[in-house]
Amino acid sequence: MKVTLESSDGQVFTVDKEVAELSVIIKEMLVIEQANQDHPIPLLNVGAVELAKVIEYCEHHRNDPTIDDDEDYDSRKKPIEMDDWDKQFTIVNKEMMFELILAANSMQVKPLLHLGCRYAADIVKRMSPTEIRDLFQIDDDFTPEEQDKIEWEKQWTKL
Amino acid sequence: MDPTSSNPLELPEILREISRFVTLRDAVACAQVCKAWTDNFVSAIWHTIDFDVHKLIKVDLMVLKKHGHHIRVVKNTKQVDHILVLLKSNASKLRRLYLNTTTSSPEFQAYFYDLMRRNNTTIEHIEIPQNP
Repeated sequence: MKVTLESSDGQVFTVDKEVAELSVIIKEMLVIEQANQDHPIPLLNVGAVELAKVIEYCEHHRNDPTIDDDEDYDSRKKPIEMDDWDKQFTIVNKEMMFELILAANSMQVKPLLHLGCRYAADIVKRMSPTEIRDLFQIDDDFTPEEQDKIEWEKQWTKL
Repeated sequence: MDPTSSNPLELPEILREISRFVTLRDAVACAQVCKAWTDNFVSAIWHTIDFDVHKLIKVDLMVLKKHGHHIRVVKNTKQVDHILVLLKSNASKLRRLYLNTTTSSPEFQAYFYDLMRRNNTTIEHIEIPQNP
């Protein structure tokens, strides 16, 4: 069975139902709108470029077992296996990856969201707080008192 | 939370996701970036306590009480002091507890049961070494 999806900029994509269902949001919509699938599902926050990339990801991972998405993060211990295809897929610039993270988040494509967040975690690897702020243009909003408190609290990791 | 935000790093749920994939060292750096990052990375710092590595006993009581609710996994629990410090931290959401001791002193047992009582809704796994 096929499903049609419409990007925020009006481009329509036709995909297999089980591919589209990697998105929790679409899966839920399909349950609700079971009787009425003669119009495309609108994805208001996802542009055509990103949607094409998300679909490419979902096509490749259509037969993956669903991951157990625990709100806790023991999964950190056993990092998600990245196959060669995933590695190839993540060779994009930071801006594109951030757009994909947003798309995966709004469509709730969990494995892609995790892949993107791992990419982001890799970017900040071994960086100092100042380097991270500079890279992402984040303002340091701590008062001097708060800064002192953090200095003091973080000591425990070195004790 | 702005659903139309064009920067995923402004979304708390994204920062929380990223915190799952950083090392402890990186989590400490991330927690110092800005207030929003602190909120989302502190839980990663406290998630796993290994008594062989972390000298939790030396941590100030105020800091301990503030963050105890983030602790989920505890490793190399060996002494009564270790159980006591977990009790003091008000840890109540432990999921996994690894004991590395064969002590069976009544004191250790009493505190251990107290800790289990406080965590009985979340605990999934307790590992106790076999007596030699």
